[in-house]
Parts: sequence; structure tokens; C-alpha cells
Amino acid sequence: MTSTDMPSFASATQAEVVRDPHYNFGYLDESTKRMLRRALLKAVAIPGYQVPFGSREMPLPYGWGTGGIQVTAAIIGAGDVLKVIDQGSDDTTNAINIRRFFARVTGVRTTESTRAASIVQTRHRIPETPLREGQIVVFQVPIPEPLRWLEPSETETRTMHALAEYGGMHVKLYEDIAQHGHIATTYDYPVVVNERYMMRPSPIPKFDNPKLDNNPALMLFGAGREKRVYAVPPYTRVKSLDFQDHPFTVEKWSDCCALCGSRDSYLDEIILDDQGTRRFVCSDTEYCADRQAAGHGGPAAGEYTA
Amino acid sequence: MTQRHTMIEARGLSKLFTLHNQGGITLPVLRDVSFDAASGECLVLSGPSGTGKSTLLRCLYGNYLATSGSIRVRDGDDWTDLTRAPEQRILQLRRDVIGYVSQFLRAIPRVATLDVVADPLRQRGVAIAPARERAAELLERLRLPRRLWDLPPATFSGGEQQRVNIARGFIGGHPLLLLDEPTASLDAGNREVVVALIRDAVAAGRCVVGIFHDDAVRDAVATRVLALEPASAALQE
Amino acid sequence: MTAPAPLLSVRGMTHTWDGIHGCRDIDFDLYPGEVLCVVGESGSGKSTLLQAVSCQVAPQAGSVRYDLREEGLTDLATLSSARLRLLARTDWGFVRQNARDGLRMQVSAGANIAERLMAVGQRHYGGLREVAGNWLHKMEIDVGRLDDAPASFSGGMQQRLQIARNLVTHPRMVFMDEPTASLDVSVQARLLDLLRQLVSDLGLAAIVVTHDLAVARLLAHRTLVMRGGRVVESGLTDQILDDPQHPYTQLLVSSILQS
Repeated sequence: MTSTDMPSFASATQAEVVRDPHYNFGYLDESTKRMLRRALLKAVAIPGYQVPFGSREMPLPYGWGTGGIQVTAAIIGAGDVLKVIDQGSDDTTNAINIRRFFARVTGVRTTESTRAASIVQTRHRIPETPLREGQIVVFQVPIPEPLRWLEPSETETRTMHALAEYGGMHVKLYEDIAQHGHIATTYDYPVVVNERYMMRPSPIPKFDNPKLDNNPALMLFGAGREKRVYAVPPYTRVKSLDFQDHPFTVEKWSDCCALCGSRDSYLDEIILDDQGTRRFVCSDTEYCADRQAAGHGGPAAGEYTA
Repeated sequence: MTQRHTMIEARGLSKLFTLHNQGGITLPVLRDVSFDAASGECLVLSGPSGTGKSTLLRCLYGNYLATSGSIRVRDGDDWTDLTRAPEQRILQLRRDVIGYVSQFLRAIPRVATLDVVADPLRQRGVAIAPARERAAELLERLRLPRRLWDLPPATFSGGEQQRVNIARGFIGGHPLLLLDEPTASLDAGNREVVVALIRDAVAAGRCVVGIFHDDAVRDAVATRVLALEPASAALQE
Repeated sequence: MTAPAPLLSVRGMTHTWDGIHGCRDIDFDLYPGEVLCVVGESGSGKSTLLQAVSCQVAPQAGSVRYDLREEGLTDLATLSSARLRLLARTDWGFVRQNARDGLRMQVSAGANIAERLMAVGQRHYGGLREVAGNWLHKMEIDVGRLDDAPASFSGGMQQRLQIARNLVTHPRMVFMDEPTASLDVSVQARLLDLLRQLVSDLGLAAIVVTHDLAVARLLAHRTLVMRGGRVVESGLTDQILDDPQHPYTQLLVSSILQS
């Protein structure tokens, strides 16, 4: 495995952070990690099924990825290489802080390269770079329960999952088409895993849903506030909900990425000035930089968005 | 086809009303009534009012429960005792064997007259078009104006409602037909039509048991008379 | 001639809330295509009877047997809750007195009707919409309201929508708890007539709980009269109303105001 660190905007080099000996390895105590691993094993054994776990108080508030952090903390080992992204970018505040946190409590190598990573913790995107066997993606999940909008009672939703009573979810899609002419959900789009359990894939855009299907990597999902973990094992069937005459479709853009010219990645829209000048660039900064380094270019190649 | 079969065998039929909410007083209306009625005859129940003529008819329909005795009714080759039959059997007999024309039409809201009349056939599974055709024939014969056929009968005059009732009772071709004062509200012309209907039914081999206030009508249709006396019965020819 | 087998067979069924109030020793059979009315005043136990027979509460004594299509008459207490829930969603309907309790008020009429079909795996939007539209038409609701939420419907329309929602999977048996009690009198007549036609056209078996004898007269072949948790009289509806035997039944019948 070669080091494929690319220049990032926040720092030219990845700082070697020394592990702080005042914390247990991975911050959580060993029995907590064991409890989490047992829950994760169960989750992997029952793809898409929400397994409750004893969520610990973490040094950051709910809503900032405590579930994902606990999952990563439970599985990370000294030899792992960790990548953390937030909305596709390695250099947002959240991504930097989480990466630095793990560096400090484990001392493991961190990276911005998907290919180099053994664990990728993510909020709101799946990397554009294809994953491979042996990699683990950890998703940060706010609300794990796909039926919560329909049924506020936890005991009732658990019964619905147990009996595969998912008709109500299609009511929502039907209603979207009736009111808007198309299914209006564009992120956190519900899926059925292994032809059995319905799952929320976390607020990734529906553009990323096809990546879940039959992926060689292991996908783990952690919800800290709701205290649930779930999993999609490698090479598992994941199908997005739809109707026969309104099949699932992904987002499309009229433009390519302004920097690297990609037509296959998820694009963010950026407003450049008060006149409303727009530009589309890849949400996955690493992917975009890789393409540029490989010689691809878009209409604004060579510039950096400030 | 007009071979005479016994259709009804009533033995020791008694009916006693107990009015629990009026101090439990009892009213004996029928006592130990026994008679037979056969296909191809019109048996007329006679006697002063209060002698249980209507009550007897209602017992023959299962509308009133007999206090004691038995009422056996023929259904093809089977016999059923109405006083002991399960409710499903009575419902089935009413659909296929026993027709009843009561004195008053219970108007179901919103249903057109044509469909009220066609209903007994529809209950037997007859399709809507032929059922309505047959209903139309009968209403035509009973001289009910066409413009009323699509209206619910609730607002009709007494005579018009009665004719709807009669059509509904006759349409099913039930082997046993119970008629309770079918001509009470009719003028002379319409009475004649009903008399003809009854005579045709009897000639076709049906068994008719009826109560007729009007002497002329009674004389025109009766083949036999059963005179009821207060809480007793004697058979007269 | 062989007698038809009952669709539902209840024997000695008892369910009480506190040892006293509820229903006791209930026996009856329900046959396909037959409407049975359970008549009583408040406190008679008629609603408890309905809840126990439809397995919303478990009978404390006695049995409720239902004719499952393949296995014949089966004691419902032996079925798994999964099977019972599926049965309740496909082969049974339950119409509540208050339409709001039986509808999703925030989604469209079409979604309300089509939900059961989606629950059993139908996945064609256009087809679902068409079926829902046909049902609206059958229930005499303007098809143009297909995408409107029931919150904007009148009480009578909501109740008709609830009925359509329950009948869309062609259940063989429907439970109704005072289906017209919350409606204005003029609206009641229309709904009752619709019900009468539907039951007849679809060959539905139904158990209708009501305090109103006129509902029994119009809808039911047979009637049970309940008082103090027990059935005091049962028989053909016209016999119960015209020749009541039990003192309580006589009291009920004589209390109807003649219009």
C-alpha cells in the first residue's frame, strides 16, 4: 500500500499526533468496547436490523457523531489507518476534530486517502473512490428508525420490523408522488437490506444509495443519541424503495465538476459572488483532487475555491 | 306439475304473548291450531279480529316464535320444522320456499322501486338485468305507473306501496306464499289484478295462505277456509 | 342438504376488565355473507365483545374460532401474533365509530385506501391510484378528492373513507363499532344504505355493534341482545324486533319512538 496522501487545504502534511497515555486506547474502556463489538457482531449477523447498545457519554454533544465515534472506537486497532470525512470533505471542522481525537486516543495513522484507509468514518457521504474488501465504512446516524415518522411508539416500530410490516413506508412514497409528481425524498432514502429489514442509510444523498448495494466493504452504522447500531455486510443486496412505474433514480447535473471535469460524482453547487455566479464542484474533495492530479480538468481547473 | 303436495303441516300450534313490562300479563292468541295446506290451493284464514290470523301467518314465516307445537314445511323432498330450525335454515327457506306479503311496506331509503321488487331474485343470484325485467313485468301488470319505478317507494300512496309489496312477494315464485291483507288499500280495479295474480299462482301449483278482509276477494280466490276462533281453531270446509 | 360451515364460531367467550364489567359466556356463529347485529345500551358489554372477537383483547375464557382458508375452523388463540396481524390486515376489516381513529388524517384519501394493498406488496403507483379512485366512486365520494387529506372531509365522508380503507383487500369479515353513531341523522341513512348494498354486493360477513335498533332492522339478518355482559336473546332480526321474548328486549323494542 503506497502512501497516497494528497495536499489538503488545511495542512500540507498530516501531523503525527502522539497518543495521549491518559486515555484508554480508543477512549472507551475495554468492557464498553466489548459490549459494542458484541452488538456489532449481532448487527452484521442480521443485516439492517437495529441492535440496541449502551451508548456512552462522549466528549461532544449528541448530533456531532457520537454514534459513529463509538463504533470506530470499538473496532479500531493500532494497525488501522483512519480517514474521516464530513459531507465528502476531509477538512471541515467536524472531520478534522474527529480525526485528531482518534489520533490522540489511539495514535493510529490517519489519512485523507480512501485507498490507504482501513476505516473510513463518514457523515452524509460515501466516498466516490470505490471501496475494497477489508475496508470498513462507519456512518454517523441521527435517527435510525425509518418508520419513526409513521409511528412514534418504539415498541410498535419494533413489532413492525419483526413482522416486516412495511406498507406504511410506501404510503409516504405514494403521497410524495401524489403531491409532487415524484418521490420527493432526496437523502436518507429508505432501503431494504438483504430482502428483509428496512433501513435508513443515514443522511447520504440518494445518489450514494447504489453504492450500498453489493459493496465489498463492511458498512457499520452508529446512532449515539438513539443508542442503536446496524450493519450491511459485504456483498449484501440493498434495494432502494420505489414503485414499478416510478423506479428509483439518482440525481443528475447539467454541468460537470468545474475543477476536474467529472460527470460521475455528486456535485455541490457553490455561489461565487453577489451576482449569483454558480459553479459545481465534486463534494468528495479527495476524489476531485485525485482526478486533477491524474490530469483531468474542468472549466475552472487550476483555481482553488477560496 | 300441479300434482298436489302437502306444503305445510301444522300440529298443536300455540302462541302465547307474555308482556313482561306490563306486569307479566299473558295473552293467548293461538291455541292448539292444526291444519295442512297443499300446493295448488289457496287457504284463507278467517275469523273476527283478535283471533290470531296475522299471528298465524307470522308464525308460518318464522317472524313470530311459536310457544308450542310444530310447523313442518316442505322444501323439495326435505321437511323442516320451523319451530326447531336453526336461523340459517329459516333464512334459506325464506329465500327459496316461503314468500310473505305483509300489510305494510317497510321502505328502505334510497332504493328504487324496481330494485326493491327485484331484490328477492338478486338474493338468489339472478343477474341484475333479468331481475329488473321480471320486476318490470310485474309492476306493469299491477298497473304501477312507470314514472314511479326509479323512485324509492317511501313517498308513495298506501295503494302504490301495497302494490310494490305484492310485486316483491310474488316475483320469487316461492312455492309457499303468505299474504296478509294484500288488497286492503287497493281500489276495485287493482284488486282484480291481484286476484288474478293469486289465481294464476294457485293454478301454477303454488300454495297460498292468506288473510282477506274483502269478502269479494276472498270468495274469488279461496279454495278452502280455515276459521280461527279466539285461542282455538276448527277446520271448516 | 349440507349446512354451510360457519365463518366464525364463538363459544363461552368471556372477557372482563375488572372481574365484573365486560362480556361473559358468549356463544354464537357467524356465517359467510351474513350480518349479525349486537344490540345493547352502554355498559352492556357489546364493545368488549367486539374487541374480544376481533382479538384486540385476549378472551379470558372460551374460544373464538375462525375459518382460515386452508386449515378450516381454527382457534385464534393458537395463532402467532404475526399471523393474527396479517389476518386482521387482509381478511378482516374493523370500522371504528370515530373515523379519525381508523384513518391516517395527514395523508391523502388515496393513500389511505391504497395502504393495505401496499402492505401486501402491491407496487404499481398507477394501479393503486386506480383502485383507490374506484373505491371513492363506490363510496359516493367525488374522485377529485383523491389527493385531499381526510382532515378536509365531512364526518360522513370520513366514515365512508374509513370503510373503503377496510374493504379494499376484499376481507371476508368486517367488524363495525357503532358505524353511524357519530354522524348526523340525515347522514346516517345514506351511510347505512351504502353499507347494506356493499355487504350484499361483496358477500361480506359482518358483526355490527349498535345501540340503535333501526340499524339492526336495516342491516342485520340476525341480532344478539346484550345486557349486563350477557346475551339475553338472539334470533332473526325481524323476530327479535316483532316478537321479543326477553323482558329486556321487550323494553328496548317498546322504547323506540315511532316516527
